[in-house]
Amino acid sequence: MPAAIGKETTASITPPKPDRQKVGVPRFPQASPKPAESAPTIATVQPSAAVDRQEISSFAVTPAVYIPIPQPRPDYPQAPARVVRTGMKAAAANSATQRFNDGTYSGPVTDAYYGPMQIQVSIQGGRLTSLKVLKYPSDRRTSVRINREALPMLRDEAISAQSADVDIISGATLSSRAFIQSLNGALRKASS
Amino acid sequence: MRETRILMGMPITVDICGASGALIEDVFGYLDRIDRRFSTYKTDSEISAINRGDLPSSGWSDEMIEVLALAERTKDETGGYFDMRRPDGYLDPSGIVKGWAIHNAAGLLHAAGAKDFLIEAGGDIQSAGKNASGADWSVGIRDPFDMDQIIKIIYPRGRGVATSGTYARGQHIYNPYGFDEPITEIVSLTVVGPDVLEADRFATAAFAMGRDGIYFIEGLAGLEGYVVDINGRATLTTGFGDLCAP
Repeated sequence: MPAAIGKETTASITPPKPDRQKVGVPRFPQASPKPAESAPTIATVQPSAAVDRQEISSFAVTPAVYIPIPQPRPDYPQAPARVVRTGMKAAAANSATQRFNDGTYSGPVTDAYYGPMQIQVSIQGGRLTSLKVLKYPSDRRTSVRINREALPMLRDEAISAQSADVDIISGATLSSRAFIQSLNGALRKASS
Repeated sequence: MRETRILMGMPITVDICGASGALIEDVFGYLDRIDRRFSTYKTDSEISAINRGDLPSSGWSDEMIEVLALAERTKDETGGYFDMRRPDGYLDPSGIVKGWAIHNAAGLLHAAGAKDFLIEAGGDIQSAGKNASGADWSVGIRDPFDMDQIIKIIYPRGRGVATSGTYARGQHIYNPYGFDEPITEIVSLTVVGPDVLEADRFATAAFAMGRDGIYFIEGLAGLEGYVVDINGRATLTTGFGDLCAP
C-alpha cells in the first residue's frame, strides 16, 4: 500500500470559492410546477437499493492522490490498472531514454469531458517518482449501500474481441486521453 | 449521409439515411448552440456567467433551468452519485447535457420527418429506424483496454446507449505496479435505456458507484447494463443478453 503522504487534501489545492457577493449562490428554481406525482420515467429505485442520505457538504474533501512509482520490479503476476498503464508506458519509455530535470511539474488541465483533469509529476534523481492527480474528471460520493441480496445473481464473462463491422462504436476513452495528455504535458516540462 | 465534427470537446457523428446536408447542418447547429450555452470551458457561456455570479436566476434561460432541474432530480434518484456541483463550488452539468442534447437533437429529426438516423457524441448514441442497408443499427462497445477493438455488439433498436468510464475512481490511491487490490474496480460501464438521456444520466452515476453500479442498473426497470472490470471481466444485467441478438 502506498504510504499516505501527509494529510494534504484536495481542498488545499482547489481554487478558492468563487466570489458570490453579486447574486449569491445559485439556487435551483423549483422546476415549473410539476405535480408531485410526476415520477421519473424510470421506475423508482426499489427499496432494496437503500440509499444513505447522509447530510454531507456539497462535496467530499478527498485526499490528494499520490501515486508512487516504484523502481522496476521483477515479473508481475497480475496486470492491474492497464488503463493507467497506457500513460505509464509512455512515461516509462521516456524515462528509459532521457533524463528529466528534478522538480515538480504540472501538466495542462485537459478536458476529460465530465470535468477537468490535471496531472502533476515529481522528478527525483532524474526519474519519475510520483504522480499526483490535481483535478479529477468527476466528483466523489460517499458510499451508497446497494442490497445485492435482493437482486438476482448477475452473469459474468470474459471480454473478447468481436468483429469491428458495426455502424457505430460506444466507448469512454476520453478521460484516458485527457490523462495521457496532461501527463505528457508535465513530462515535457520536466525534460525541457 | 454521415458526417463527423468536433463539438462540445469531442467528435460527434450524425448519420441520417436519405437526408439532405441541410438537415445534418441543423443538428450540428443545434449542438453548437448547446455548447455555447453550457460549456464550462467557454468564458462567455451562460453556465460560466452563472458560476461567476454574473447572472441571477431570474435571468436564466429556459434550457438552463430545465437542465439544472433535471440534474437535481438525477441527484435525488441516484443518492447523490450524480451531482453537478464540483468541489470548487461551481456548477457543471456536463454529465447530463450530452445525453439531453442528443435526445433533443433526435427529437428535432423526428419532427423533421426523419425515420432512420443515428447521433453519436462521446460514446452516447441515439438511433432510430434502420441503417442504410435496411438492418437494425449495430453498436459496438469499445474495449476499454484497446481502443481499436470492440468487445460486444448490441442492437439497441431505438433505445439509447451511453458508456461511462474514467481512468480512475478518484479517491483511491493507485499504484500501477502494485501487488494490491485492483486500483480501479471498473473501467467501463455501458447503459441502455429507453432513450439516450435516461441512459446517460444513470450511466454517469452508476459508474461512480464502482462494482455496485451494475446492481443499481439491474434494480431499475427499463435499464440494462454491461460493466467491464479492471481484470477484463464483464457483468451483464439480466436483460442485456436480449440486446445482443441481431
